Amino acid sequence: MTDLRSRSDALSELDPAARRRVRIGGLIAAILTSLFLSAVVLAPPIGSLRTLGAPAAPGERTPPLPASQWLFDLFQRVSTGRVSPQVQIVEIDEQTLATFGAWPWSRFDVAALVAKIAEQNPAAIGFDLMFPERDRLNAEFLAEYYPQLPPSALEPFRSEEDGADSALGRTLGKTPSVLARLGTYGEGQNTPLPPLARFEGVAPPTTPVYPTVIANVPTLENRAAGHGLVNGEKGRDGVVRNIPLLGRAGGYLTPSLALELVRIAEGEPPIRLEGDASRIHAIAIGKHRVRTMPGGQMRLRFRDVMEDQITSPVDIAEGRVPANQFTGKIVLIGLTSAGTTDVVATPRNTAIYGVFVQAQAIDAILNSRALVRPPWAVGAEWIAGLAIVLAACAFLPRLRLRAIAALAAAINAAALGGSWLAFQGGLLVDPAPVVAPAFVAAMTMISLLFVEGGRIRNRLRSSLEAERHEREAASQIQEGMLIPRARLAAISPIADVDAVLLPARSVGGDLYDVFALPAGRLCFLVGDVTGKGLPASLFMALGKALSRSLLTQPHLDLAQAVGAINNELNAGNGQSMQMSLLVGILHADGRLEMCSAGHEDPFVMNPAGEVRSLQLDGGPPLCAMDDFPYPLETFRLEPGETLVAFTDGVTEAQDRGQALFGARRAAVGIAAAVGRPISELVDTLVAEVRAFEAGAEPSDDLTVLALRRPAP
Amino acid sequence: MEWTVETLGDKLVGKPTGRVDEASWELFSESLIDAVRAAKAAGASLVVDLSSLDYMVSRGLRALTLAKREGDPDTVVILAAPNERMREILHISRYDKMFKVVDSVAEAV
Repeated sequence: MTDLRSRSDALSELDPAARRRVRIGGLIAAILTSLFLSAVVLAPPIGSLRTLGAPAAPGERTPPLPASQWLFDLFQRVSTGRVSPQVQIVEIDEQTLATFGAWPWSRFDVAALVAKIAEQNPAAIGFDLMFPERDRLNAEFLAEYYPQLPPSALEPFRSEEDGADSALGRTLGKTPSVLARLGTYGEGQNTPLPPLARFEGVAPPTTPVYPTVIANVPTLENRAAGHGLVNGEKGRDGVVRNIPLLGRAGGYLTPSLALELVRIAEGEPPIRLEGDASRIHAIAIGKHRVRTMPGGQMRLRFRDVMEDQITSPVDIAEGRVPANQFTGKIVLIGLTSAGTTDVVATPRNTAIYGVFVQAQAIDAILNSRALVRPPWAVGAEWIAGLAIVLAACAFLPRLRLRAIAALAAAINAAALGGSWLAFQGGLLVDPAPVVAPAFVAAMTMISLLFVEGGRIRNRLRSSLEAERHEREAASQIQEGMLIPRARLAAISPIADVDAVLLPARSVGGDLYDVFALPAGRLCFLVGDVTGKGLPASLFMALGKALSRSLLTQPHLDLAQAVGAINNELNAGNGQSMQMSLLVGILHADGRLEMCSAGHEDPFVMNPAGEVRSLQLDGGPPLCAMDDFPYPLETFRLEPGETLVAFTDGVTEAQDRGQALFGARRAAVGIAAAVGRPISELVDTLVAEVRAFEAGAEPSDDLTVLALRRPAP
Repeated sequence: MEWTVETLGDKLVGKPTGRVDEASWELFSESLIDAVRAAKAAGASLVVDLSSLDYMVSRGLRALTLAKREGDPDTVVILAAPNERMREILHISRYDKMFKVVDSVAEAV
């Protein structure tokens, strides 16, 4: 999480050009996604319209899949709902064939089944199967298979009137029956009987056209109450989603089987096509009305056929069916035995018998349950999508990743939820144009943000690296300005000298210097610039150079030199820095001239280990006051006596409880090193300060300088 | 650190409370400069009441320098009632030579 946050923080530091790059990237991604989506929706069909039992027609158009077809299919699968019991199915299944023998049956048997069903006064009886050839029990068939029979024996089968087809035809003539037809491209005949359905309105040009039609034997065709097409319509993926309700077959506008059954059940009213010459939007029949696609196809909202609406012919023959099972209902007779080719895939079922789909189509017409793609949907979807894309481009580069994820989840949930609710209401609203461009734009922008963020991190890293190099160089230069410990002892024969400077950061504001002056004198100084880091160390370097330069001027005494340092430093002091400075000049005879500019008084230890503070009158730090008359103060350092000067890195060192090390502890630490070489004294004092701090980050530079006159 | 200002007689009295350390010296410096300007505008002196101040780092001392410069030459900055530690700090840095240091605010007023 920390990592994410720090990345987001890096993103928030994007410069305007980088933000613009991210936004433009997002917009381009959104546009490309939109173009892709449009291509999916509007592209010329790759496949062709596949009709059941008929080859694909050249130039046929397959209805395009909405971009979110998979989502609507998912909705179809997870939705619940049944086909109303108003639709009944008589299922010629395996069990039926086992009982009555293989299909095709004798038309006498079919007639008997229809007669039994008709006894209950159904509203309509439809066949989702066809009788394109004559019954086998005819004279020609028998003569061919039984040539030994005398012609007189075949005489009773010669009469059309006494044949099985006539028997079924007579039964059909007495019942509200609908026969199936199949529109084809060349197979069958092109002069069928005109269908009985009457239409009001203009059939749209996009209605499927079949030049020829496979119909039933004329004996049956003549007598049925209605005729309906059983042609289906598969999507490019071979899945049935739409049911055509109209087709122009063999030259006649013909209703589908489902529509024709409803027409018969409604008392044969005219079928009203609502729309204009170019497209229709609904088909009404009697008191029913169903929304359609422009060519008259109905988008089916798939439902389940339940056990209570499926009946076996065996039960009908043996009288085990309730007396009103079919009364007033639409009955579909279909084949569901193995070997039936009428098996299709729907979004809800990977394989389902065609008769069940026909039942759903009837149910959809009866209950106005077709899915509709509302005319406002496309505009609304793309406008919402555009709004989200623009919002994403405007706000995303400023948001944290967690907020982006939350917003994206909310938008997706809203779009999917809205689409689901619309689907339940029979409306197809596609969430893809709403969320997909924004989603791709968002992913692109997040990727670009990471790229830009990485760029920033690299830049920061290299600038930090450069800064570190500079600091190291500065530190080395500063170190180089200090005389190395090893060389301190050799500077003057009149005193042993040792010093240590430990910067709190890599470069500091403390300084010390030791150098010989004419006449065997030894000059030493310790100073501390207010502040730390690079500015302090620069000021320190200036102070140190000025000090050595002015202190070695033969015409200036110590106090005058310090006054001159003060004025020189102050002259170019834009940053209002200050520097404390303690300078001493030790003469070979032990005379000690000192001058303090706001610096802590040094300690002096005698060979007996008694430590006293060398109290100086002094003046304020350098740069605090112009022209301050710093006093020259003179002391004596006896042989064997040690002078210890230091900066506030010693006295103001803090332990974890913020207590100060203080001058008293410093004095005790010095006394503890009595009789030891001064380098040990310096190290002991530093070690005690560090021990006091107990690992706490040193807050200030620490400098200790000691010098001792050799014992006599 | 907290900073309050009041007027006592013909003097303006600024009172820092707490510590002037690495975290608070900038606030101290700004408050002090503001007070000096106010005093200058009123033709008064500024008394800095140190009685409630524990401790001051060297940047705080530098702030006193800047305040003195801001006030010079007309507006005098007087340091009043330093505690023992503050007195030592003022002594070590010799600020007691730059500023008039008095034992109490009453004495300064």
